[in-house]
Amino acid sequence: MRTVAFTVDKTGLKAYWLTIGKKDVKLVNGKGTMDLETGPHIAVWYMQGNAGAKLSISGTLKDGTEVLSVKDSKIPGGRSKWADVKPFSV
Amino acid sequence: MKIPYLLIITLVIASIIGHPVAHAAQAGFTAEQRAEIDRMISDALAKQRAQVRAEVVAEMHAAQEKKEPAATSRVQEPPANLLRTESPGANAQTPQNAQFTPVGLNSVLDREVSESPSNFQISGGTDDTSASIRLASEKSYMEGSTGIFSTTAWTMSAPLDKGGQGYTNIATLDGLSNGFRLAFNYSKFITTEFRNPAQDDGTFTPAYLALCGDAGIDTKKSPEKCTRGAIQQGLENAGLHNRIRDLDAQFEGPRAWRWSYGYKASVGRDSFDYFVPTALTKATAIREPWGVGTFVSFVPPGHESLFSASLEFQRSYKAAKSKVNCPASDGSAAVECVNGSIGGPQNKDKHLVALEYRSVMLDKGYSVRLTHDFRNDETGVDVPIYLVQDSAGKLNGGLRLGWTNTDKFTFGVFVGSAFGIY
Repeated sequence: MRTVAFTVDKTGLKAYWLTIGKKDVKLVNGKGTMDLETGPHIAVWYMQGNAGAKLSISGTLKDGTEVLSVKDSKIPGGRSKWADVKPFSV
Repeated sequence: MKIPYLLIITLVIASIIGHPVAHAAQAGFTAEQRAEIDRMISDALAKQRAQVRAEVVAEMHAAQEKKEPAATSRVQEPPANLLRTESPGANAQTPQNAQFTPVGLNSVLDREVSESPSNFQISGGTDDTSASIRLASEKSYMEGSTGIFSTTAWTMSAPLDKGGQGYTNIATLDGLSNGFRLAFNYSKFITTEFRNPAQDDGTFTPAYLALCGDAGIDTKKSPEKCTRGAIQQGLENAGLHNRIRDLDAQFEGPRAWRWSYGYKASVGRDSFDYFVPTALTKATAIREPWGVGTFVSFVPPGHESLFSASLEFQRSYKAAKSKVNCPASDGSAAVECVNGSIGGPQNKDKHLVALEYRSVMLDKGYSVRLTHDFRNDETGVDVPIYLVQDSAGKLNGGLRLGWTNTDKFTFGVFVGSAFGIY
């Protein structure tokens, strides 16, 4: 098991959530941690807000190694919510 | 030459506690005897210094070992300015081991940075008219398939002192600044029927992989390419538009409601300078405007429309009208007129109830907002219709229709913030 620290930076979003697999990452002010088995995982994030609102996600190990990086995931035009996925390994 | 040892000991003690006594006691001896006494005193002092030094060194070694049992494995050279030298006496030589590191400081520096986030974040900012300090907390979590997002914020603000030193004192020892506001906001956003295309073993669900395959992505070689955007693009390119609805259903159920509610409170402090009517003397009045409110809103399943309702109580103050007034003249002296507010500030209470609907029709955004002030029996309707896009393609301008029971119909063109249902 390795502890991964997740950071979510939002721009213009009303609300957002992050799960790893089906497990919820509880975030306080965009930060939260989760102990993960070494191996493959999938990050799933959900956004609520107006079109163009976006977020970025970073997941780092204690030694500073970044295992997950999501840059500027945006709510598409004509929508007020969006969700997406990204596989990563620990 | 025999010298009584009792006398020598007395003299040694006397030399330690006060040289004048020792010198007086030596007055009856010959020069040779005094030289011998001085030598013996010097030897005795040297022995005592050595003993004191050995004890100090032993104590410091013991103390250092007690604080750092594993010192051999984590020896650190502290900066020179963090070293302190202990000296047992003015004339004593400083033992090398008397130098020590303030262990507590290094312990703080060595401590791992905590991963646990703080509950509140503080930030400061300014706009054209005010400076503010904001203390806010956001929490995001799920309960089953329901997502909950709460926001709590305290904001202090004060008007910006443009002609001053480039900053604004929100509060001083004398009290709160003029125009000070303290606001509290809390809101909770709830959405239901989250669905998850990922499994806990790090793979996608078969239904999601099937969609990824339909989009033309090799799911065995490159499952990491199965992002929602790539799948949607692939399905569109393949003409499988009906499958896009299936893709959306991988993330959210068809009966997903979106709810939000919250409340707010604010209090402030305003100072009003005015002239007392008739006497026309200067006076200052301090008033505390305040407001409380609550709201609830929801987005029905399958819609991009927002319904909201709000209730707000406000107490505000405004300065009396400014004008030039002159005191009555008795004809004996020149009259000094005054220019400013005549009379103290007037309060204006509002009890507001508002209903609003926002939606999109033919790619144009609009909202209808009905507001009624029960305190003053005033009603207004505001209907902005967003027709114009900015360079980023966002609707941010258009026509504004309005109606109030006092001014009747109004019409205008507006440019403002981008339209959105939130």
